[in-house]
Amino acid sequence: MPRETVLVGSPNSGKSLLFNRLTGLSQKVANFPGITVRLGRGELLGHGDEVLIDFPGTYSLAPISGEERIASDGFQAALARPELQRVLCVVDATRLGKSLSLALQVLREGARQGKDVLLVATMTDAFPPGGGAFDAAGLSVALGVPVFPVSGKTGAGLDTLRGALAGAAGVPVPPRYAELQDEALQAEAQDLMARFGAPGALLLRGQTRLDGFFLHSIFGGLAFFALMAVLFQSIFTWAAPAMDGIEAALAWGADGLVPLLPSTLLKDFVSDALFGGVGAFLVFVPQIFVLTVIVGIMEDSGYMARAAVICHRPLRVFGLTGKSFVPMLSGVACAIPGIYAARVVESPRKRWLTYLAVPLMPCSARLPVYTLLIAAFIPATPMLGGLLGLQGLAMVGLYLFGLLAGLVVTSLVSRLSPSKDDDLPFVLEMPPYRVPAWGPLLQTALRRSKDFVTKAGAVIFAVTVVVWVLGYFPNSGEDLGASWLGGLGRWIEPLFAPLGLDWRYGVAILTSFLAREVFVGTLGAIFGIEGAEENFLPLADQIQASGMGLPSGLALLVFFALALQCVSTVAVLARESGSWRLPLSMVAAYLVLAYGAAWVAFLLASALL
Amino acid sequence: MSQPLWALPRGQRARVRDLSDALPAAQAQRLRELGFLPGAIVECVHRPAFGAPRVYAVAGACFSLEREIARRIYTEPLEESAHAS
Repeated sequence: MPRETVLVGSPNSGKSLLFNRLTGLSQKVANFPGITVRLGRGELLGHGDEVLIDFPGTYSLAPISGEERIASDGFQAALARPELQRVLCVVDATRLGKSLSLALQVLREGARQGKDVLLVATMTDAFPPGGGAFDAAGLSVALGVPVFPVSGKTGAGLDTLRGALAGAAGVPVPPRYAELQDEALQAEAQDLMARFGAPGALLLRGQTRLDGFFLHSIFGGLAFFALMAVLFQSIFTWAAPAMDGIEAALAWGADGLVPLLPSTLLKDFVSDALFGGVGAFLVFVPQIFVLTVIVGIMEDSGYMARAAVICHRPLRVFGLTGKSFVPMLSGVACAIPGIYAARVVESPRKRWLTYLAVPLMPCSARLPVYTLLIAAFIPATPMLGGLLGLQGLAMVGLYLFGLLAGLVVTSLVSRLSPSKDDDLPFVLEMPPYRVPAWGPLLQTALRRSKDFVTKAGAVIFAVTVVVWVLGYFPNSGEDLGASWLGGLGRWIEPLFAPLGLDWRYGVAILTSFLAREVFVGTLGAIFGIEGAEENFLPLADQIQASGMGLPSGLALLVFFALALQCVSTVAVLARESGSWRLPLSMVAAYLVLAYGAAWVAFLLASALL
Repeated sequence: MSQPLWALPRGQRARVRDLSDALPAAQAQRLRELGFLPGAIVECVHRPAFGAPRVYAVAGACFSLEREIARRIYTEPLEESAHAS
């Protein structure tokens, strides 16, 4: 049976980097038995029988939020396991003050449960020349347990630590810790801090100068907007070649594979369901990768904490926190990376509110739908002396509408369900500015992309197959109107009649719950136009000719701005929030909201126009 | 004489005197664990405009605290002779 070692440490103590260094980036995300916190698990490099388990960073074993309670209960459960031999407590050598309380609490638990405890002091490379070295030996004598000074960045001291972990069990924790009371514990932490802590002012000087710029009332705000513009732009520009590449590769694969298939049924299934349906979601992978890397750079460099400080006040008005900003901004490109980015929000309640806002952000999948409907219903009247057309203005309006809807929903929900005790107030550590560790950063982005393809992909594949089967049978895809899907469309037609929409739009809306852009393709198929995705105008003309009026068009636009029609988002939300309850209630609530708002828009437009 | 931490001008230091009873027990304990405990020397490092959370250095680390927290940490002015500690 492999021996287990648990890693604990405060946030920003370099614990994850140390874990990656010790395990050689072999981290597998696994759920620990009995608890719902995601834990990293990996084998010690070169020693397959030593397993390391990475616990979430925490400042204390005394929890102040529901999420921290789960983590701290999980830690207690882990200690009770016979396989678990040791606890590796990570302290930041440059900022012992915030790490020592936790270290003493861990020693106390170790003494009570009879487990060995090792201390690892990280960031030893950050000591400025001439600033005095970190006294690991002295701290070790004072604590009575081994202390290993390491640098996750340069790798110094790691071989010694690895050797110690692979060797025999260490020294038991001195029994006196078992009886340590909270007050004595804090006094001891203060005393140790005074004796072994780094000369704080020396280390903080560089940080203070940079903060003077990034938190400046004017320059800090400008820097914030500039960086956000780069982030937003990068999701579109840097990911675009890869997205085009994936599309081209899929088209090439379909062209090459489909003619080789033996039967028409198989050919249609592979080209429509497999390449058309599942392929459509693979296109999002580059966006997720690029966004994860950029958000990772912002986190690792320490800038994220400053951005959160800057936009904390404005977002608080809407019940959110400063940290909700990045997920919401990402959501403007695509809700999926936005949901992943919400991991930076520690407060469970604020993260939950952020989840509510992200799918309302005007994502890029709404773009084809908006383009088609605007072309069909909004005249190309020049405005502002030709500077902006009425159509362009409508597009801007739709983007603002989505943003505003997200903020209104979160502020309403946060006011209707008042804050509970486990809502964390805004206490945010300002970590030192650092150059990111590129290897682990790219590794995380790759892992998250793979995670998206395997986990969300399974759900998307299942739904795609169901929709395809409904649309294909019983007449082999000859006539969508006569298929089961068409029958379903006629059956639900009364539902869309109040919005002035007939069965064709009903079916297109139904399929668009797979992914919004499917709306365009479905309508194209229904109107019998080949390649509707490539050229919008003929389809827009058809829609105009079909006799649908402007009020119905506006209703459709409002509906698409608000409804959560994206299987990928639902799957990722279920995975990230840990249950299907939240995404499914969001689908239902936003459907009601979207339908109601669309109906109001239809009535208003009918009365006024 | 005591004043809330929130009132501390930028670049100035003060000694923590007490945490308000209005802070929930768990939050007060967390603040103490982070270093905001009676006797600790705190410096206001940054005061961004528009009521944004302010940045305080304590025990060699920096934390930003919003108003609701920082006004419940009571401090007393530091005598010049106490600077050495």
